Amino acid sequence: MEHPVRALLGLAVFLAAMALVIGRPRGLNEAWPAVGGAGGLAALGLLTPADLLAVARETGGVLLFLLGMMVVSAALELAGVFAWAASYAARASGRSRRRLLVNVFVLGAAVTAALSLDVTVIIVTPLVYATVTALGVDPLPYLYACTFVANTGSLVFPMSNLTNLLVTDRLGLPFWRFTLAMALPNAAAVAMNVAVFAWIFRGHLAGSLPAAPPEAAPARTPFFRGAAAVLALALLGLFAAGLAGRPLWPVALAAAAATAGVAAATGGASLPALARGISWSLFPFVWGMGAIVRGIEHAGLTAGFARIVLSGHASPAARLVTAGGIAAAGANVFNNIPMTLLMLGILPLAPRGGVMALAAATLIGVNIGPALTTAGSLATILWLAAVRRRGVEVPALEYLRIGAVTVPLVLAAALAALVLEGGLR
Amino acid sequence: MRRVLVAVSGAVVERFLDRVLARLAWGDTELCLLHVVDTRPLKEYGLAAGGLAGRAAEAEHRLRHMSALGAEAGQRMLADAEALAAPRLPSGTTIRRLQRTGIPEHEIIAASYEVQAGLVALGAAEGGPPPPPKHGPPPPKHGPPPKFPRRHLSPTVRFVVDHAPCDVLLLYPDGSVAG
Repeated sequence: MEHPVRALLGLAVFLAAMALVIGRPRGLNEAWPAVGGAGGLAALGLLTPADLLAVARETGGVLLFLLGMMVVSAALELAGVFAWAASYAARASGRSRRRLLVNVFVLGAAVTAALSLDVTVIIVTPLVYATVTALGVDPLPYLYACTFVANTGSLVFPMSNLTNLLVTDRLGLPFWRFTLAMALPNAAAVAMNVAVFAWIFRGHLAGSLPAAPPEAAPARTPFFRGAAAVLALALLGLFAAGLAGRPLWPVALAAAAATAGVAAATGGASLPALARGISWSLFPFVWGMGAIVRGIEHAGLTAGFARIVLSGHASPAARLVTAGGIAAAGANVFNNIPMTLLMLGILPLAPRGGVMALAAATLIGVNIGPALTTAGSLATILWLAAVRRRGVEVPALEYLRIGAVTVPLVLAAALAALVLEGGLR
Repeated sequence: MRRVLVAVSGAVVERFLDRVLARLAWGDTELCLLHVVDTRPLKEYGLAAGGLAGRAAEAEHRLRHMSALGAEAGQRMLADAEALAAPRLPSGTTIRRLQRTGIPEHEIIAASYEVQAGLVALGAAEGGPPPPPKHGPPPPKHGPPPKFPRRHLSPTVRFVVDHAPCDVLLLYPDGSVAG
């Protein structure tokens, strides 16, 4: 244990950084408090330059992978691949509102699994919004379907969520072992999500669409075909690399180079346009958060937390549910990235043979949990209070129930699938 | 002059507007067509996308685009509604198109105050389960009191009924009207 004063100062730096990351006063980019917090902990002597370098080495592979996949996703968007997929989801609905919802779920789950939740939320959701508003339909259920499936469907592959990448990379979990363990919880989570939404939005889903979706699909240019082919090859490459136990980032960078080549050869997009798809601030943010978590580990602040998560339960199933629940709650109180890093600090302390299942439970929590904060967040509650003060009555339950009902049920389904899997092995 | 405010959504344009027109006397009456760009889905997108690490600026840019798309789709619905209404109304009847942005139920009430509406008409189709069967309530039985079929109004419709400063005309998908 560190000197108590230094440990307390470390805790204060951690809490201040987290408050700034969550609150983002005046639109402050979250990379600043992450890097600033790391600097603060270094100044306190809780981090050495060697620690900062070690964190960069540990997160480097993940960040290079993200860099490559962000370029591929930008190319797919510019080539119209996602717009084509959204239009196909509408055309395949047969004018049924319910089938359209299921199609949106399938589209979101597929994009999330293959390319990450960021791509589903940032790129696919606006396309679904555009598609359904053009049909004269209330976009609410379809938009919620996108933002929720981006979380509930992000369990299956390492690349489906940054949290998965961080955990598999740090704990050295093999790609296919991870995927086999997560496939059933992922399927259970998405199926439960579809079922709950079909019930919550039943009034919106009765009957047919007021207008038929346009019959003609968006044009498939040479850039479209090239980008789609690169995606297919990239996925094959990622699966093969996973099978061989090789790192994923060289495949992602090669795919990025190939898409840039296709874009240049077909005149489909310029390099600056592809580069605009890269979220540069993510790199210092992930490094800074990794360093902060390492700093508070050095201050001895995670030891008590580890005791809560890892001990005091006789049955392994209870331990999994506790880890998943704590991870989900933490992902809502903090952000899911710092919560994942925090859990990563304690997972290696788990009893031998239990690390994989505990990592899976943690990821179920940090990946599904944040769906609650979109609909039932502190921000929503503050907004409700603000409009009430202006004398407007808001049927609060209508807005809060979606996350409050869905997230616990989806979380329970995924954790039950994980426990069941453990029992079957 | 009496003003009738009709809340327009995709379903209203297609199924209900002709019934509103057919049921009311339109002498010395102005028709105000209202579309509301619902900010709830936009807010959900803002929270979900803005909450992703490193994506806040991009989310904001895309949110502005989505908001413009929602407004455009609404303008198309208003134009369709006007095209449907104009030939069926007495010549010289004024038709106004209004578009607001916010939570639909709040904006419908705010617009009804603003235009001093004498009647608000809206479709009761979305937001509730399918309507009860048409063949009336079940026959009375001995024992517990009879259960009559119940319509579950959506929060939007309920809010408008509770807060409207004037008469409200609800149009059900099965053809019956509550006023």
